Amino acid sequence: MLKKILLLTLIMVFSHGVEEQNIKSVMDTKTKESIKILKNSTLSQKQKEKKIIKIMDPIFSYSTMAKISLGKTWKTLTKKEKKAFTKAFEHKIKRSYIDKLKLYNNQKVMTSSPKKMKSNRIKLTTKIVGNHETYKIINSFFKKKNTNQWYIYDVKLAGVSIIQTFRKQFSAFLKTKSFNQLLKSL
Amino acid sequence: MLKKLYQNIILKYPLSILALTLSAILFFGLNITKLEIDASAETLLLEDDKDLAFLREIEKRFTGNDALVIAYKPKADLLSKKSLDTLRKLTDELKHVEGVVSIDSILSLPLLYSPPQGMDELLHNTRSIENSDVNLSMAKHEFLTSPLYKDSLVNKKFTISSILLNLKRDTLYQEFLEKRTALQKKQQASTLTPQEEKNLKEVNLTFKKHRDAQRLATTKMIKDIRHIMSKYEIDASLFLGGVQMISNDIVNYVKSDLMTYGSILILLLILVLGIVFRKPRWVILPILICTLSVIAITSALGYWGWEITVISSNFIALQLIITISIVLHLIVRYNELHTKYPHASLKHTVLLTMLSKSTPTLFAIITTIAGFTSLLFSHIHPIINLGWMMSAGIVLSFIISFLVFPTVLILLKKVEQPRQNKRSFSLAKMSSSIVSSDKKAIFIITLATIIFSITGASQLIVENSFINYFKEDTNIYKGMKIIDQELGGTTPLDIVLTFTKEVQPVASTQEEEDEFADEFDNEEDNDQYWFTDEKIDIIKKVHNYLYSLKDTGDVKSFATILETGKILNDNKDLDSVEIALLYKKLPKKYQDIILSPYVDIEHDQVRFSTRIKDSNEGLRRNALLEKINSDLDTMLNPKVVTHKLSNLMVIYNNMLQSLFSSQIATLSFVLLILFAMFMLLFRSLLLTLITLIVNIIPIGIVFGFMGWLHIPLDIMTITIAAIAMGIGVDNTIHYIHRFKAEFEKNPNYLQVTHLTNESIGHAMVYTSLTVIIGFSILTLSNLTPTIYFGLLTMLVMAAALISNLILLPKLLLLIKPLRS
Repeated sequence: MLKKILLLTLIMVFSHGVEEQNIKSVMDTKTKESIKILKNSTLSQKQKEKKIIKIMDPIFSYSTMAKISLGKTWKTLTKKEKKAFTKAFEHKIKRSYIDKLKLYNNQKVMTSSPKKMKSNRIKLTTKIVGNHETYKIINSFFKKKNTNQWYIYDVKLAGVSIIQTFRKQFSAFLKTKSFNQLLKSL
Repeated sequence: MLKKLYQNIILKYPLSILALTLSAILFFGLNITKLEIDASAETLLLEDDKDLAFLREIEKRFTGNDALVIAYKPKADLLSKKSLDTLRKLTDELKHVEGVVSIDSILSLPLLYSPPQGMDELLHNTRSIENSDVNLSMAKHEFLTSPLYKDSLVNKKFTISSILLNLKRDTLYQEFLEKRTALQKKQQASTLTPQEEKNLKEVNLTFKKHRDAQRLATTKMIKDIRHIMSKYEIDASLFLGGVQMISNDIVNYVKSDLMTYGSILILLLILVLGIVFRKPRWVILPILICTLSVIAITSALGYWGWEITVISSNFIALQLIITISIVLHLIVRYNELHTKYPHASLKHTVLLTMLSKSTPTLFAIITTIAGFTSLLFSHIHPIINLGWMMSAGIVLSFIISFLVFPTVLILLKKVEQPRQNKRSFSLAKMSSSIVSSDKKAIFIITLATIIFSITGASQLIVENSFINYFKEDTNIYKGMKIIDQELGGTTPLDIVLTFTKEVQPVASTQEEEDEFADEFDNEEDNDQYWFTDEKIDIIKKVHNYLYSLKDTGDVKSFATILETGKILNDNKDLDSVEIALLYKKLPKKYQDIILSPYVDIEHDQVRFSTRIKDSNEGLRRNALLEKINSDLDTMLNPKVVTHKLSNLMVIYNNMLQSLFSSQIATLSFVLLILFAMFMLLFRSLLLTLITLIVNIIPIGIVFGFMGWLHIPLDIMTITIAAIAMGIGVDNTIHYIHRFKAEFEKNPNYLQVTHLTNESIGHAMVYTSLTVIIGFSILTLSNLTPTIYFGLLTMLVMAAALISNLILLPKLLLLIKPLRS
């Protein structure tokens, strides 16, 4: 079940920048499309992964995620380092979840209405109904400054925030090691 | 004063005195029912051991049940229908034993990948071998390869499996312990109010009652389990193991051993006394006095509430030796006076016997007590107890002997002295002729003995292996060995890592980041985010290290769970998000089994639970613990994580090490005390030095012998030095007292040596002979500590005898410390 949640997470995560009023419908569509791809037996696993990432990529703000994950260290980085880190982090996130796609099998997905936490934050809850339990996935959106585009900056599945997990990882790592070592490890 | 006491009271009203003494002892003897034998870990613990406090803290934090293990070795294949049926019936019965909470076996434990299934199914629909659709060959493969089960649930050959009996947790024990510790701390700081003082007394009392009740319950439970096991022995070999069982069993073995061999020992003593003295009275009297002394001291122990522990279990034997020595000295003296003055009245001979023996016996006793009181400074509860017990026991033996011996003799008719036994005579005589005729041999042999002792003692090892307490051909040994070698080891050792608190990242100044930082900082310390890659790496590293050691058996930790997760995850390591999810979504019942015993997020601690293979040849426990500590020191960055070892392995080792160092310390202290006592007694530095040398040599021989034969100094054998000292000193004082008395009459060293050897020498020979022959029966025991104890006692007796009958007079002849 956990892996199935991760799959759905992946689907939710890789969306594109979207306007506030369209958040629910866009997410619904993208989810449905992804499920369709997953069920398509003519495609290889690799092809499925590629297609799904393509669908989801645009709504996902890797740079914001990278920035939050790194916490205070982010500010100390040069532009070049920030770029390198964002790239590595994006790769890491994609790589770490991509293999969970294959574990998806028919499950009911229910998206509730987005909840506006403050002017520039929205949380969208999706429920995955399994045989024994229902799991909650919360997508956190933020509004990019001076635009009307909303992006996902964190996904919380069954109470576990992916970005928080990374944030904790990196801060523990940087306690004894350098940023360059972190970059290398990614 | 003593003369008056004997003349006017004891010898005047012998019947009344005897009746009074007997009834007092028998009346007081009612307390014997209160005597308790307790070999539980509690009695062996060091009072101020920091590791013990740590263990108790750890036990509280990492919830895990106490368990007993049964090794189940069916005659048929382990997974055959017949074997599984037998196992099912057996476990069904065991479930109903009082004290057993649940049972884990190959029947009940979850099968995670036989065949593989989704995580959701795994968590909510756990399968076991009892499910009809389980593939048995897959199950076998899983049992043999799963990190959760391999080498602990089943052995490598898949012929034996463990049945784990999870026992009811004694929560009251913890409660009492905490109450007592809190009050004791106040007591040490002298801030106890009168009410609290009362409370402490009450807690001590109820705690002890509780422990006693628990101990009885455990004994009953083990008996019940064994009874059930015996019903299934047609279809399978079954062995009960587990560290709790061992401590329980050792007590029962020691008890039954003492019963069997104790009674044979008494018979042997009777036989030897009969052969040596050839008179019923000289058999009955020593046995009567020994019995009364043992009754008196055991009742005293019951009255004072002192428990006999593993360490003090030898003390009855010690008491016997000392009492026999006192009585035999009296008998020999009486016979000597009777032969010398055959026409003197009975009363007069008895009076003279008592008076002439009172001084040396009293001195011997005071010296022995002084030696034993030094044990009081050892800080080890059972050793302190042994000190008190022995001191009290010796005093009682002295009083009883000096009351019962004269009164009984007076009441019996005076009889003609039979001709002395030539053979026993010749031993004492032989020693005196050896001393007079020898030129250098005695010193050469002494030198060789010293070399033997030093080289042997340097090979002495301090090891306590409970498994090796039993002979290899006993069932209990075989069972423990199977569990030890094939099912994951015996003595539990925990390694606890404490991670240092992480520093919170400081929020940045930019508005947008600030907002994110707030949101994330708030939740940062939630439990599920605790599992960072860094921690996981350290946990895996330490786990693999512990697993790689040849002396560790089963190793379980959070890494075991991760390893299992990896297998379920197509052999890919779980990443931190997956671990966090696992933590968050794992049902409580699984958390209790696979997480809580190994991870305590609140205190940033993880625990590695291992069992040490107790029967490994050449296992050096202290060295192993030191090695683990130093390896972890180099492996781990102290800024990130600190480590500490815990559990019974550490506690027993601490106890043994401090026993050993306290032995060294007390031994030197005893020598100091003896030096002072001898100086006071003999008022001669030379004489004092001679007596010390004569007494050190038997101890040296014992240690040398133990070293050369690789007999380890363990909880049982470690008291042997005290015994050696007690016996040796006794002989020396009697000898020198007589020597001085004869010397005053006739200041001729050679003649006095002959006279002394051929008078007091007999008492020494008889005592030693009686004890040596009596204790030889112990070497037939099934318990190695009993064998060693018997063997070493015999050795000590012989060594002390030879040292006192040959070396002592030789040194006296050579040095001539007395002035005419």
